[in-house]
Amino acid sequence: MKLKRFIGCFCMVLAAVVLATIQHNDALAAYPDKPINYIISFNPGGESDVTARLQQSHLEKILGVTVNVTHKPGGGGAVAWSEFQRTARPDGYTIIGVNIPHIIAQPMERKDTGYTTDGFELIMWFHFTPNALIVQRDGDIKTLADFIKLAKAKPKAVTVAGSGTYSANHLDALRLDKLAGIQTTYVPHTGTGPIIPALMGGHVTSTMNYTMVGVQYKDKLRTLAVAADARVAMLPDVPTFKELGYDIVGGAYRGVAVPKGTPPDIVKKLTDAFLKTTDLIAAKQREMGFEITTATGKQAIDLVARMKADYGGILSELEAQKK
Amino acid sequence: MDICLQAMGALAHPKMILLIFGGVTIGLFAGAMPGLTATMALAVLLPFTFTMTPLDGLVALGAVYMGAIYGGSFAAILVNTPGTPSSIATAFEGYPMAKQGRALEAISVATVASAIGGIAGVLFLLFLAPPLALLSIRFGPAEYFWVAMLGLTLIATLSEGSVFKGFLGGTIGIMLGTIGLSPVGGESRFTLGIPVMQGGIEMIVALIGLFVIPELYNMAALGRASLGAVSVADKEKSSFWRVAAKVFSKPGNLIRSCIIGEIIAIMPGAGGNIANLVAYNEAKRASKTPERFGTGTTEGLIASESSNNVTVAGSMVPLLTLGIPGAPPDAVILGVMLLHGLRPGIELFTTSGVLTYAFIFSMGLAAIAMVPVGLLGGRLIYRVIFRTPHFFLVPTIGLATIVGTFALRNSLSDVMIMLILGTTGYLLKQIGIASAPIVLGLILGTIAEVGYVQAILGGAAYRFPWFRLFENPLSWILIAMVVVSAAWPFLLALKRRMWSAEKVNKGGAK
Amino acid sequence: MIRNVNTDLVAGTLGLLLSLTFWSLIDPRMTHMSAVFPTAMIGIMAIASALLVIKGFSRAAERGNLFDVGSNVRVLATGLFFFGWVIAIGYLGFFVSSVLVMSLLALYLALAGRRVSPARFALWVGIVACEVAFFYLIFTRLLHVLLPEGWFF
Repeated sequence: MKLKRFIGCFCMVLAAVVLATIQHNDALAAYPDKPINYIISFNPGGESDVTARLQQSHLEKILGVTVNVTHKPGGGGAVAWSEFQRTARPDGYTIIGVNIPHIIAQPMERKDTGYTTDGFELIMWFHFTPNALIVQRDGDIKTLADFIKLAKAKPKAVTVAGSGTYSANHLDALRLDKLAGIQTTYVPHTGTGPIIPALMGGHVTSTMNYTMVGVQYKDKLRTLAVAADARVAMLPDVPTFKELGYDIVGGAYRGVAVPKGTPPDIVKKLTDAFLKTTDLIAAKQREMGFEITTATGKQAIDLVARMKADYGGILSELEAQKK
Repeated sequence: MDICLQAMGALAHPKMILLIFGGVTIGLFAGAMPGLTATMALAVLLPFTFTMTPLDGLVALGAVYMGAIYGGSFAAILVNTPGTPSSIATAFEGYPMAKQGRALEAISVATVASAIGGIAGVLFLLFLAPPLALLSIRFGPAEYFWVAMLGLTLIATLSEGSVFKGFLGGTIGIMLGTIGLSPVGGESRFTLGIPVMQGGIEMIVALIGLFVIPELYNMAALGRASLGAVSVADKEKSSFWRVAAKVFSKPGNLIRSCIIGEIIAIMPGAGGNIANLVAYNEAKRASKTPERFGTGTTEGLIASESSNNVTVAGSMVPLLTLGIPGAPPDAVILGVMLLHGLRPGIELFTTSGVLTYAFIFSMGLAAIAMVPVGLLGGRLIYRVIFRTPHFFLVPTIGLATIVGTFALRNSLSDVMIMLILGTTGYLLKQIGIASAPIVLGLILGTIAEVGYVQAILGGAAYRFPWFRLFENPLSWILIAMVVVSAAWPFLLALKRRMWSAEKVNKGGAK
Repeated sequence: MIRNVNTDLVAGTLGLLLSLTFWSLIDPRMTHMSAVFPTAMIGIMAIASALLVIKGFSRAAERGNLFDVGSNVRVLATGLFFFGWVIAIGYLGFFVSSVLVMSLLALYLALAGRRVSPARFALWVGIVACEVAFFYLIFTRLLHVLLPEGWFF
């Protein structure tokens, strides 16, 4: 009996000492002093991954520690995000890439997403890809007016491909339907990748996709309109939906977040590092068809709130339609 | 022509040779490790290429890609575990060979077949890129559905015992594949409310579990490793020249497998993982001795390994001409090209022609480099595995499997899923449901579902949306192939029954 | 070993149970896009299973011995080792649990056929530790895969 108590005491003391040293170390050492794990919730080779790889070396230089880019794909990002909110320690050594509208739409749509939109401490949103309506270059459709005329003539026969259901692509395709008074068929695909051959081969009429598709496949595909407030730098000849009389502005944002409860000075350090990095890779990012954003702090939270209101309206309307 | 000479000049540099050999070696070991796929090896090496010139980077990645697809055959032959999904059929023949003490011969055959496949892919890319690119975008949802069906007819071929059990296994695999997010609808299915199940069962996780774990249980049960000792005579049989002569003695099989590999390679999204299975199936169908398949025939091994290496350069056809990755690893190569400001299309062959042709030639060189690297590396790996006693082999292979599965998605849940599936696979094997149809269902189920649902959606304006499945001439060709392929085993069985009946009659007459 | 089992009947019954399980898990609120394919496949699974059951009652039923290869105790123990390993990784970290489980598994499997002196076992633990360290270093340092940490590292 005595021995048991002694061992118990001993263990407690030991644990206390260990804990004290750990905390002591944390308080003493200036952040960061060990490698940072940058989680990407999508497959290697995708746009999120390529961007993270571009940021990696600059971040390492600025922060002075190794930054490991690791992938945890699955569930359209939900697997990584839910595990992150459940297990990541708020010490700034685990950061994760986040996407709008994914982190807004998924918790609204699924019962078992496992994370909440507001459960992240946002560092910043670093780029934006507006949606764009894209068709074959050599087809009959040359303008948005042509597209709408065709859709009116043949209801449901005009197909619009997009990546995912309730995604940025899907929601703007629905908006176009509503504003133009047409009936198109939205065909969800597993990503941007498989849409390109489907469009080139004429298996779908059009795609509501990101502007970068229009930039990268300029000589094979035609962009009819972009869903941004102003024209996109890499596609100067393409009008915005607004110019053509349809109030559609939308797309996907990419950003980075840490767990809730991360100390403010660490958040500050990471924010500065990402701002600097974004600046350094801006030229390359624009070339690939991204628009640079620098929404940090309150701005970043406001952006989420704004998009949440936007998507919430469409989603509830869609739900009502289903019933 | 001038461009070609310049391109060759660009490659005639010791640094390039070093990059090719280094790339092939790295790829080989990555491929041989279950869980490390070609896509992952390329993604991990991606940052290193940022500091290189575009050509150096592309050459290195091309060599890694080539080596990884080939390296998958080592694990398939020596431990019955396809190192990458491109070597599934390799395990069907290679492992029985290894059990019979013909491991070295199997490795040599795989090496020669892979090198030939690699070179064939380069030739397709050099000479037939434009027409093949046009063909590649003809594959729409309906065609994907029919290709998946064609693959599923393999179940009938694969099930050794009862066809019904094969189908049950196949549907189990398909249903496992539907767990998680539905690929078109985006809703979560069969997740039991567990967030991690939204990610579903990754095909490679199931592949590793279903192939490796039962093998480890077997080893533990028997108390010995199942690799046979290589006799002196077999060592001679595995010499490069004798094997090369043997491989070339059946050119029909080679040519057929390479063409199948190429057609599947140009289909965006489908790569070596499907090519090797279809090529194996066709080789069995064309063979004069189909009943010997599965017991260690070189024909099946050649079909699998040549077809999967065709896809390396072959899948670059739509990539370089249209910017469409023909197989998953090509997405990484596309990323590198975009980072260096190279836009796929006609300019790639004209303005930056030297670079493009040098890249294409380098893949041919990588295919040749596989021969020395593979023969040496293969012998090394064989010796290590053969010399290791079983009580070390079981934990060590277990370690490699666990690390490999974990690395795939950085997920410990995946490791648990792998173990559960593997153990279930061992139990199912007892009642005659083999692992192969389950894996097949898992690979092809998603393709079939996406094709079917998208085709139906595309036909929303029709009176009968499923009419979309029968609309195109390309679909008709595929449907015909599905029918022939599905009926074949039954025709064969009928023929055999008649033949044996005849024999019995003759016997009775005596 | 279980002798002379009607495997067709077993497989068929199992398949029917499985189809029933999946069928009961289909959420009726799912859209047609998500439900059509699994429903069809569950149907095919049920048909294949039903045919197996019918065949199981006919004269053509396949019969075979289950678990008739080697020692089943060793299979069971190896399975327990494997599952324990993965669970331990979550608590002890990759390195410690792997060295521990691998050494013990090697010892267990070796004891079936030979005697192992303590000195030899100590040597094995050393070899195993080197092996694990090799994998650990390659994955964490070269491939940047962060293996689970627990005790120590």
